[in-house]
Amino acid sequence: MKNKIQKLESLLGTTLLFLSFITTSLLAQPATPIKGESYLQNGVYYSNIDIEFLFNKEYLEALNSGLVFDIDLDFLVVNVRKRRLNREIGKLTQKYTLKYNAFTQRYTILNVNTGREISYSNVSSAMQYLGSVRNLPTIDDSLINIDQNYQVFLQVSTRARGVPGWFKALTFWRDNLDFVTKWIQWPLYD
Amino acid sequence: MDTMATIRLNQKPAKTVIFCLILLSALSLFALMVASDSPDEFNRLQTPLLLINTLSFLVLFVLVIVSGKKLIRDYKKSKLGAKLRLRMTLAFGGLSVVPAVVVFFFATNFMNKGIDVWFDAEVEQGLSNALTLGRSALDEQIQKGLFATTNIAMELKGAEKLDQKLNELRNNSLALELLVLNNELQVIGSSTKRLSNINSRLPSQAEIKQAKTKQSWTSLDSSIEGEYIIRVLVPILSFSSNEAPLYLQSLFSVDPNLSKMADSVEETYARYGRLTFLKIPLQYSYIFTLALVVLLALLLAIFGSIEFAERLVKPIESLEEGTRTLSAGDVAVQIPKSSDDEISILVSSFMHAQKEAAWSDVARRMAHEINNPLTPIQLSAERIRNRYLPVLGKEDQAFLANSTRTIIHQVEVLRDMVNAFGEFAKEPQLKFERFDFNQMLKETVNLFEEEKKAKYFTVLLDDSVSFVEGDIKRMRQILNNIFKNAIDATKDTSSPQITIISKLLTDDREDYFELKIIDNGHGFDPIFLENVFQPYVTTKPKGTGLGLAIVKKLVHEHLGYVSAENNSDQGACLTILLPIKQKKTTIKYE
Repeated sequence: MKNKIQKLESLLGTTLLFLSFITTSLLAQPATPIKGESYLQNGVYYSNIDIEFLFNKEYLEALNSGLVFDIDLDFLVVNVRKRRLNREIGKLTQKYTLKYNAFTQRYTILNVNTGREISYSNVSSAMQYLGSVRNLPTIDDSLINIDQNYQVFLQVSTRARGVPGWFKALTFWRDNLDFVTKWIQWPLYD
Repeated sequence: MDTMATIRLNQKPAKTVIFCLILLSALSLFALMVASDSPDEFNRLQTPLLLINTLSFLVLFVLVIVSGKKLIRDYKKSKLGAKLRLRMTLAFGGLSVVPAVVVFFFATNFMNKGIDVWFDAEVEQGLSNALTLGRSALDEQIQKGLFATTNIAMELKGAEKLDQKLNELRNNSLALELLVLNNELQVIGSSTKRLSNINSRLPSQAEIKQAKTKQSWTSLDSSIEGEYIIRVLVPILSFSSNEAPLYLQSLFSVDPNLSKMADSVEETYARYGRLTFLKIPLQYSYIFTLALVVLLALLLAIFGSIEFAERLVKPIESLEEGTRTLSAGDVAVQIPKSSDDEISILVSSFMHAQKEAAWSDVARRMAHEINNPLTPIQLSAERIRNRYLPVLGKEDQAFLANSTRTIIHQVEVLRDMVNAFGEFAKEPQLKFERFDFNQMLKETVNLFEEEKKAKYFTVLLDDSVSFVEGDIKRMRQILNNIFKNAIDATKDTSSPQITIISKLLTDDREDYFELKIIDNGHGFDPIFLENVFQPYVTTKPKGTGLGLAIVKKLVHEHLGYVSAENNSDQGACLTILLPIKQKKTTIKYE
């Protein structure tokens, strides 16, 4: 009887350990969209977005080793309709690249859409900059019918550029430094 | 039986699928190897190719397990051939497994060592030193920038027209941009010379703090094009402590050549860093690919050895089944021909010999059983005729005479048949002699034509086939049988014609003579053509079915070969091939 209880305890312990490992792995996301909001100004809808970028040890090691990260913010503006299929009316991708320059010892962020470059001496400042997107032109007011319901969807993806595809295929069992978040959404206007 | 049929039916498509998978696998491995030269192509193909190989691996794995299980089950049931199959599979499989495993471990070891060489610690240290050296080279320029910025800051002290002063100072220095800011990062004044792709940016609070506490802050910024910019931030000292603190930020360009070299060193360092980061997974991925290739090859070898062993043993299994059926008394048993290899031929010959022995046994028994009552029947019929013929009336005399004659005639027919059986069953006791074959042929032809009182034969003889070796009695018997057969076959033909052709054939080792007997009769029934030499196969109403069987037996005893075929137009052709010299001791004959 004692043996049985011990065995059960050990099984339970192993299961919990495994579950905690899985949970930790799942929770350790490099990017999590927190919230977004949009506003109208001079005939254009702008969006402010907060994203939590949290690179774990492996991601940081990859970044500091010279791997370039492509960070894409995919926006969709969708007309949500009752009893009919939703209609996508706008699509936008805001692209960034993040790299570490071993010579300058700084983290450089390039806004691919604008060509603007900015660098930080530490990764947390770089993450903070990436995580706070302000006044991003999202959609023109002329495309919007105020009587209808519109939602803005956002998905964030991070990809390590230096990792070849074949290599990712061969190491499918491990984290390949590619990550896509779930979609979050908010109303275009209240 | 039905299950067996189903299995056999399903085997062919299964084998086709396996063959296709193996082919696909081999092609994909080849493509993988070729594509590795072009990274883009490799990236595109890698995943589907790996999937194909993994699928092939899984299919082969399942097949090997199923085949292995069947083999072990057969072995446990002591099925004939299973032991040999298992042994052969283990031998062939073992022969492939051992070298494959050895090659795999050596290849892995060499590969790991090779990869380790790329990541030599000295190389890493060298790159790190190059980076430090580059930074040191730029330090001098940074210090110059700092010195110039400090001087500009001192000159700005108390300046009234700030923008004008900044323009003046920038023109007199090497600065690309001068920016005066307050504590809240608001720009008080600026002067910019737009020559670079570098975007101007405001310092962060942290940088301002650094500049405040350490009296200066410098940094080296890089652009995506690999251009470097020196950024310097210094506080502007005020005359009184009541004035709000101001800061001067200046930008200086780095010598383009130095920038280029610095960028090159940085890129190399980053590339090395990327490789170092990917080292372990890279090793795993190579090992994974190698393991997949080796496992595929291994499974293929094991599966091949099982299949090969099965094919090799199959004729032996058929032989076992055939002999069992033959022992049970079914002399008409046929063994399916699985292939044309030596084992199949051996099995076929063995079965043939067994069957001939069985037929001979049957013939001997029949001859014995039939022969025994024949003489008493004949004698009894003669006695009845002799006793009652004189005492009967005229009408009854005729009836008795007819009946007893029929009995005696039929007994003679039966005796002929018994003699034929006896001939067939006779053990070969040949007496080889050298004789003129052409002469014997002519004599036999004459005898037949005299007896039949008709001209049947056209004889075309090769004079070089005069003296041959053989048993004269048996040879004459061969000729009698085939001529009789040919005449019987042409009996319904309006102008019967039998052509006899003899020809000398030579090869490197031995001389042969070929005898062709071509008639224009009804030919062989196509259904029986394959079995015309089998005993008791006949289409004649009164035939024993032993004529051609005896011919074949005698020809074989002379180490010859006989075959039969139908002519394209009419009739049949019988071909006999016999060696000119027999291998046994011969007696000379004049």
